[in-house]
Amino acid sequence: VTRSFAFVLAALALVGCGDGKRRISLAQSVTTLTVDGSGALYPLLLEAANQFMRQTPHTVVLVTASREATAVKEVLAGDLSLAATNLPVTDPRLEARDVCEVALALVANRGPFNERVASLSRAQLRAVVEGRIDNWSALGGDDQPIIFIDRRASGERVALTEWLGLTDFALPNAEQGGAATVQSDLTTRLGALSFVALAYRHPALRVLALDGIEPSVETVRRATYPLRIRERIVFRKDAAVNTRAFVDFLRSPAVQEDLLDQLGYNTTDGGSARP
Amino acid sequence: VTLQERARSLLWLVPTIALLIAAAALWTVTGRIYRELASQLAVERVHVERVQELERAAAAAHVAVIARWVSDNTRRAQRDEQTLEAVRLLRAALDHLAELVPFDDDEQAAGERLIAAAALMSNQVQQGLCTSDAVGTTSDLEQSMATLRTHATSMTASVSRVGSSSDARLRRLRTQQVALEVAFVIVALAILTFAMQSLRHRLHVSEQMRVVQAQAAAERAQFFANMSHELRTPLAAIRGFAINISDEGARQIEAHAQDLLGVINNILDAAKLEAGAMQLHLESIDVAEVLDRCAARCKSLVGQKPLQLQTEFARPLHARGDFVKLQQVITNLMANAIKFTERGRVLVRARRRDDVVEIFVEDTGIGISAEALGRLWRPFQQAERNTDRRYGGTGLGLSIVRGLVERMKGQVTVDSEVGRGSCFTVRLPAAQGQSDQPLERAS
Repeated sequence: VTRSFAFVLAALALVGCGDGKRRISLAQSVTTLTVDGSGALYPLLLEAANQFMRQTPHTVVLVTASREATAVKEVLAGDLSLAATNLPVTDPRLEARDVCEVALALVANRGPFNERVASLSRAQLRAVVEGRIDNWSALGGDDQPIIFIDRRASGERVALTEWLGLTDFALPNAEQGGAATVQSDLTTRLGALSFVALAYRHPALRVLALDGIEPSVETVRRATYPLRIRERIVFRKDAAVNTRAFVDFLRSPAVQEDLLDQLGYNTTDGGSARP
Repeated sequence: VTLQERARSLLWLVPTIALLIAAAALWTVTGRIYRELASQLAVERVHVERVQELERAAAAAHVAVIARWVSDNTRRAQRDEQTLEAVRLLRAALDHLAELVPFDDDEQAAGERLIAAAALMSNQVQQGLCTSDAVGTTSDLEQSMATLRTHATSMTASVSRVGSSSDARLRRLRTQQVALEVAFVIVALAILTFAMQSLRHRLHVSEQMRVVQAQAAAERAQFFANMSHELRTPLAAIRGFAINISDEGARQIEAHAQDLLGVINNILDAAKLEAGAMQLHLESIDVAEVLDRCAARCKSLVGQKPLQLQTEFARPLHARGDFVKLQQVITNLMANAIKFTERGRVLVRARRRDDVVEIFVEDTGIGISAEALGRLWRPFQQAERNTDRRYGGTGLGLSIVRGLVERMKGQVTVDSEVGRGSCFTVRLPAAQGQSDQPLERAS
């Protein structure tokens, strides 16, 4: 009986004590930052996130560009860590940091029908978004209907609307595109035309000048290209340390001096890092 | 059997209860460990499934991106949708993986590396989608996919190690449980055997005691019978010779022999009553005749005392009892009353009330204190400590009276007050079928 009691007490002690270490889930041991928002900053954020993850263990930065319209609100609600936007931020609970300046370029499906169209004027572009011009022939090209790929709810569209002197526009025949697939859409849709950040440029696409000025890092730096947008990263004032660390990384030389120029962005001090 | 002996006899229960408690505790503990290990095995399977889910999603995303780059323009839009869906699956698998709670540090490290690799791959797939930089992203993706597979394998190995360890522990635990069961049964049987032996021993002892007690009772009865004969025979001879002697000395011898005979008879009666050996002949008896005889017998006891001996009862008055023993009872009570009453009177009354015949023996004697009333009926007790020295007697009379009355299915009680006298009441069941007179006075 004594031995039985001793065994029971020992077993209870062992079971009761356990290993003394509280186990936590992987979600708790890995800090995950979620970033969403402006499509203009999307290519930069993806590359910057990958570089940041390589040098910061236990931190994961997941970037998407699917909630451009609601990203800032979601940051405020705590559902997102960071939001990218080119629109002003007024909520006092939020903090915003400039990341870069980029040209909002007119990019079109490359084809013989628009070989002779190198530039559009503000009036021509306005006529396109208002539906008054719907064929490349009206712009100096061949007969080919224009498929305008709109990007509703994006900050770039707001900037474009303001630059055109409109309050809004609505093209009935426009197709909707997202940041992730707009380049692909422009490549595959015959006669397609859209507005994207210069970072989306590709040899398979035709980049059009505005009022005769080519969009480039140089023209943005000189401020001669008329349609420029300033991209910001927004976060809560009470954001976690890792969130601020990623923001600091976006403003670090690794991004500002190397990555921006490489991807077609400019720093916000008026020129590219490497003019 | 004293409380201590009773407690000692129940000592065997202590190890039994202790064993039961120990067994219950062991069952609880091993059951808990068993459940924990079983749930650990189930969780391990979930962990492996999550890793496989992530691997599948990553592979799908990888294939989708590669397929997109080799597609012609007409199929690229469709491939884009597939790639986006693959990314969505990859992110969902990533979230599922993040919910897991690793078993140990190895699995945690492998899990963290796997999540980082999957996150990197997710971003790279999206990069390939939005920038179409096929050459650069393809090599990055291939590298990421290889890294992801390495970490997935590492994590699966860690999880499986935990699983196989749990499996081995489960098998060991099952063996221990069987061993515990066997040990428990053996010890329980041992305790049961011990308890049975203890019980059998106790039964054997009590049977022996019963036999011994029966033998002792028989021997005692034989002893009293012998003693009765041996004592009475010489006394009868003494009395016989004393009667024939006419001088004072001879009367003294006869008186003392009579007293001695009374004492012996009392002792024998008390012994018979205690042993249950007293034989009574219960029948319808005439109480009036009993009282007449008693009064006549006790008249000589009054002697020179200024004491009136009176009787007061109805005639005829029938009760159910033993004629001789009732005489003995009433004579005893009257003799006591005369002995403890110096002056006044001793009154014997009798009456029938309903189915009971009541006989009262009242006196105006010294009375009995309340404290003494409590021990009055016990053998060898007299009312007051100094009574036996002053009045003599063995203190057996009243215990015999009570024993006899109770054997006749009656009851005897006493009311008394110190200095004013006592009243002893004998109640006997009335004889059936007799119509007695309520009261008669005589003196």
